[in-house]
Amino acid sequence: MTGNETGAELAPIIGGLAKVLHSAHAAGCEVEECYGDLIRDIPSSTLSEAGQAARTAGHPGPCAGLQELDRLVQVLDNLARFVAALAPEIPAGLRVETASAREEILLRDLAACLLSPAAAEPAFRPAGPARAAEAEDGVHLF
Amino acid sequence: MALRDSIRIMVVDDMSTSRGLLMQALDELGIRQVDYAADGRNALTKLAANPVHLVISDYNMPQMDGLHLLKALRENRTTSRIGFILVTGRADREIIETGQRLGMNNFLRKPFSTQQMRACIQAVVGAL
Repeated sequence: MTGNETGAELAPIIGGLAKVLHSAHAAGCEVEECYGDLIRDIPSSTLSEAGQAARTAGHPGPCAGLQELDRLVQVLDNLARFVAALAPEIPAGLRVETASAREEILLRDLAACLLSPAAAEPAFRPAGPARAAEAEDGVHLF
Repeated sequence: MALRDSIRIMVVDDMSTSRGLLMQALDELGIRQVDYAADGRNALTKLAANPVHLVISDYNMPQMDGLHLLKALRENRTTSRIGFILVTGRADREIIETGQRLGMNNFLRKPFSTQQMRACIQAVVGAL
């Protein structure tokens, strides 16, 4: 908080962050679904052998890796919900200096999403017609 | 006949990757009678019609999480005695204690190995 008019309001930034996390979670779910389809068709013995070979080579193996992917997706979901719930609690007018933070953001679209007024919209919208609107606001970064 | 030949297990997980990994691990253990459900409500419907010996359920699921599924199973006479293993990436004390209070038989922490799953199941139903 700077106490002057530089920087940006914190609430829209947190709202935008929630949307990005929600998008990342949705993308993670899609990746999981793809792997789920593949796993069903692989004999368990093949996965087991691949795991043993990976462990011999010092890697965790495909099953452990996929479980980590599942854990990551769940963490993203929890984090997205937490941040979305936090956003409305931030007092109006609370500002933060963003110049140095923006320099660290390499994805132009991500920066625009986090710092645009549109980011103040709720992170979770109903499925259906609202999805079309979501596709137009440039949130899909992943 | 070994227990693994006769035991019937239901895997409940909303994520197909996680569900697939659980079912692959069961297959590796030689357990062939495995059904699955993608959410708690679907699991309850299936179990009411075709009870199994053991449910292996994820904790983190939308609408009805693993603990709510466990509670619903224990409150129904048809399903109250089904063994229940909770699979969770968050082995928080609160989750475990709530599960134990509701009648959870064991829990499996993610990421898990097939051997860990075997030990977890055998602690509930005996040697496979």
